[in-house]
Amino acid sequence: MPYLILIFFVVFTLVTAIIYAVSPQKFRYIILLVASLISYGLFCGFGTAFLITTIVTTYVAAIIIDKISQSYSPEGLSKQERKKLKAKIKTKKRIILAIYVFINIGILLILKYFNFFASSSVKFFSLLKVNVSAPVISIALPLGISYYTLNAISYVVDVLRGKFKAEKNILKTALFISFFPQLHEGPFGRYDSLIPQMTSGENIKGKNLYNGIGRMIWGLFKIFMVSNRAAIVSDEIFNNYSNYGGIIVIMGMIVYTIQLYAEFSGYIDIAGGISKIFGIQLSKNFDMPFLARNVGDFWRRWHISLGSWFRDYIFYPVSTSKLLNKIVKKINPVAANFLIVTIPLFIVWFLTGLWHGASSKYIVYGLYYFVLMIIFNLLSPIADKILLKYNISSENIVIKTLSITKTLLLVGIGMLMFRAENLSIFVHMISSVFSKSAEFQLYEVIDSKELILFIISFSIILISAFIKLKGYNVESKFNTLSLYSQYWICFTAFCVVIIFGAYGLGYIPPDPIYGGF
Amino acid sequence: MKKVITVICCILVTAALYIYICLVVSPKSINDSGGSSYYRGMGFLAEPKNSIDIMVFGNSDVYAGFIPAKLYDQYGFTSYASGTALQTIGQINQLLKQTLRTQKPKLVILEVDCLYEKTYKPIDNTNILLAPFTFHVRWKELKFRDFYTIPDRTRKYDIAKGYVYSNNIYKFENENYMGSKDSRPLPIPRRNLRHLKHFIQICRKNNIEIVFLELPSASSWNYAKHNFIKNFSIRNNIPFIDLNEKDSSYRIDFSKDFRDNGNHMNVNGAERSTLYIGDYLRKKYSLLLADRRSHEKYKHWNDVVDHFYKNITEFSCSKI
Repeated sequence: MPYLILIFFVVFTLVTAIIYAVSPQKFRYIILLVASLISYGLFCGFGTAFLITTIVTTYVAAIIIDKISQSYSPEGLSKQERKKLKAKIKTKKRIILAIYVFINIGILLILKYFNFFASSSVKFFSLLKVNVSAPVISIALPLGISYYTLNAISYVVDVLRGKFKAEKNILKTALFISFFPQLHEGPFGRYDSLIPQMTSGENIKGKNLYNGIGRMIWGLFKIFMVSNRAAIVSDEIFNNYSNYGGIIVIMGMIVYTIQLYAEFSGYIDIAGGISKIFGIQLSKNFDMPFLARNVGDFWRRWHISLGSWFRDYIFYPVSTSKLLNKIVKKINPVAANFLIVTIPLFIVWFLTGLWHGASSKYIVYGLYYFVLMIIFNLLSPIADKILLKYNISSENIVIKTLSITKTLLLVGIGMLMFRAENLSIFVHMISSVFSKSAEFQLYEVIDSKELILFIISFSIILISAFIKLKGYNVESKFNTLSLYSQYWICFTAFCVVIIFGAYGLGYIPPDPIYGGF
Repeated sequence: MKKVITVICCILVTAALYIYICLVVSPKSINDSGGSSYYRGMGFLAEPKNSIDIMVFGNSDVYAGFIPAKLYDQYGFTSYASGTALQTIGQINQLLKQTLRTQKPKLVILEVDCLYEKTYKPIDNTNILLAPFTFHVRWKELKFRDFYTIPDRTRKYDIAKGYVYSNNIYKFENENYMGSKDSRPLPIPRRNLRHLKHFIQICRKNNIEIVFLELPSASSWNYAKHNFIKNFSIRNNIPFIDLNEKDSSYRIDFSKDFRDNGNHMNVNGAERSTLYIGDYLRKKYSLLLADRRSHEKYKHWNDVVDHFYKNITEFSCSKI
């Protein structure tokens, strides 16, 4: 992302914070909403129409669903009649939900996936020697559409589930869907935890301000000092993949993993920092993912909010659905237990892959994790038994190290697939790991000073993770410092990032990877 | 009260530190990273007062295709090539205003390729307060002198008078880059048109003659642009020299004249184009422009000419 956009966001946030601070408390959420819509309009222009469509349909659907429940009174009805009434209400609500999801997922499908499905269909028919042509939609994908659509759906589904009442104030619904810090790369939020914070109109406190600015600078540090420099090396290897093999491909895989983590977690830190200034705590999205013991554990630590969204709104509804339970009832219990987990898991990972992008590569990427999880589910009881037999604790340092290394290797392969242009390039790169590498002149790709700075910066991230692991909370320690100390730490860190960061002229800014989803 | 004083001190120390960082990272010479764009177009500020008769403004075509030393050597006209990469007419207006503070040019040549420049730099890279952002690669090359030297754009005398020497030769093959003569005129962006009108206004207010010029640029120029500028120049009574035009007596040597892919001229092309312009100016503005070669005040121009020819003898032509 060009650094000017990030700087724009920093300045935009500060201006919004000033206006927010001088506004009456009860109108402050409107300031946040106006700021969100202005920033979205500036970046998306016409695309704002899709955001507004989602806001309006979400508001209306939630209100109608709420009204359906209120319009039926069970008083004076027999048990059977009540049951019938309940079923009728449920059906009506579900119809509204289906229409709502149809509209919003329809927009997402058309804008994001239409061209992919159309070209795939053309290819399929050409295999059958049938010549067909498909139109191409050339509307720019509205910023963050995958994020706000899923956020909005979670709100309506929660209203349908009776978790909370529908919001009567459309401005509050709009703020939840369009809140600017999380619109670009997430994280996904839940209405019941976010909207009370967003609408409380909390004063901007010194502690929150510096904590927020500190987190923003930490995010900028990850992006400009680590991710953008890692991109210089990984782009060289992935863009010229046919020249490289062996250890160089493995290096590309590791560097890309660092790049992706630093970039994505950096943007999440910036979003979290901006929100913190306004007293809003966004949901956690990372929890030291590279210390995961298995791939399931990895996905509970990486993009946590996406995983929990799929768990709550896809996995549970599918695994508890009447249809699936009806099907598995007819088969033997072992197979039934297997299928009741496997089928929802398949759907979740298929959709996770598809969410990442309109390409067969992403679908295979999702299914890769599905297969790994199924294998893990089948093998872990056996592994547990072996450990038990030899009286080895799963917390044993050797076992722990082996588990983490195995997970890193599997995740690394996933990253390679994620970054490779397409599946055939991925296969080529994987097979080239075992072939001889062409000479790789690292200093021709990145100069020694940049490389040293990259190593130092990445070491700082590792040290911060290590001390967190040891139970020392840097953020809490920062919060206990005086406001002046916090100010000077922020200023120094800001100067370090702007002087030593890799951005602007002389660097090719990589596009935000998760911003494209 | 104590709190207020502490806050004020905090702000002042922050501002002082930030300004110091800005000064440290700013380029101190034309050879530092970012130094060429920071100093090159501004070298006229270090020229003796009222010593430049012709100012040439434009983008990178100007510093590649116009040689003030050659013009002085052959015709005795003093000039300065104030061109930087992707320079817009808006920025040229600023430069023109700065020029008028120390110089009284009799004639201004505007290289019109810049009128089609759509890249508006959101950050002014000459603003010292934005130095950490614009010159952020400078951390790699900081020297001890950077910590105590204050960058001063007004004292960066450029002996090449804005010209950037290159003897690279790129053989360009598409000789029909101008397209059809009857091409529909391609208007310049509205914002640029507004700035251009302002440019003309300033010149006329200060009795400065204007000449529009298009140096050979095979990768950016064509008849659609030519036709628009030609119509505009006729309407505004401004002479227009287009060295790309097929009817022009100027002949581009595509095998020798370019330094890169047809975009910028090398020293061969620049010498020929400068002589062509010099000849034109002598014929048309003989009453306005004086030959300064015999004046004592302009003696330093001999060093300028020597420096240019020294470059030629030092570098033999190489082929890309």
